[in-house]
Amino acid sequence: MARDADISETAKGDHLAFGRIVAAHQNRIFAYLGRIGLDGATAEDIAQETFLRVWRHAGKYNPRLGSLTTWILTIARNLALTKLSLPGRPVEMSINAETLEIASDAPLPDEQSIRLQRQQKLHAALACLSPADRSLLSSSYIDELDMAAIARIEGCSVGAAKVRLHRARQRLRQILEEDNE
Amino acid sequence: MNNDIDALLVGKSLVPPPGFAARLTTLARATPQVQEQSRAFRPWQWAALGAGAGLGALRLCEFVFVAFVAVGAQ
Repeated sequence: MARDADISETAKGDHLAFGRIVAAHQNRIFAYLGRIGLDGATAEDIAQETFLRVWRHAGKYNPRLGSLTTWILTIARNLALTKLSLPGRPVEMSINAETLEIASDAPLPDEQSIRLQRQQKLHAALACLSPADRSLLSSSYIDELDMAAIARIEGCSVGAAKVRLHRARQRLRQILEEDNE
Repeated sequence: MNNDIDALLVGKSLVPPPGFAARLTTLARATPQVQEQSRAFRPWQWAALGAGAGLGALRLCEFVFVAFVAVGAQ
C-alpha cells in the first residue's frame, strides 16, 4: 500500500517506493481509461507513460495542490485526451465477448449476450460524448475523488464540473433511451 | 436508468495486465529522473544580490556627498 512518504522517496530515486505507488494506483488508472472508451493496448500504453512521468517528475508533485491520486489522474487524463484527439488509427475499445470477460463473473451464455448488447449500446452512446465529458464521467466513478478533486483534474470550477457531469449523464441516458425505443 | 448507466460504466472498466507494476519498476530503473530546479536562492545568487545592493548604496552615498560638497561650495 502506498504511503504519503512514497512520493518523496520516489523523488529521491527509490524504485521500491515507486513500485508501491504503481501498485496502489494501477487499478484506478486502468478503470478510468477503460470507462473513457480506450482499448486495452492503448490504455496500457497511456498508463505506462503516466507512471513513467510520475517517476521522472516526482519532485514536481505538490501536495498543497491536491492528492497524489488527483495528480496521477490529471497526467493520465491529459495523455488520454491527446491520444483521442490525434488523427489516425481508432484507439477506442471495440466490444466483444472477450472484452466482457475481463469484468465478468462468468455469466450464462444468454446473460452474456444481453450484457454484450448493453455494452455495445453504452459504447455507441459514449462515442457521442466529447472525450472531455467522457473523462469527467469516468472520474466521477472513482470512489475517493470528491467534486473538488474531479474539477481539479478537469481543469474547471466545481460548479462547471457539476453542470457538465449532469449534462453528460443526461445525454447518455437520452441516447440509451432512444436506442431502447 | 441511472442505476443502469452506473452498472454499465462500472462494467466497462479495464484491469491492469499481470506484472504491470513490476514491469514499470524495472522500466523506472532505466529511466533518469528530471532534477527539479530548486526555487531557493543559491549562495552565489545571494552574493551577487549583496554585491549589487552594496554598490548601489555606495553610489547613493557618493551622490549625496557630492551634492553636499557642491551646496557647501556655493
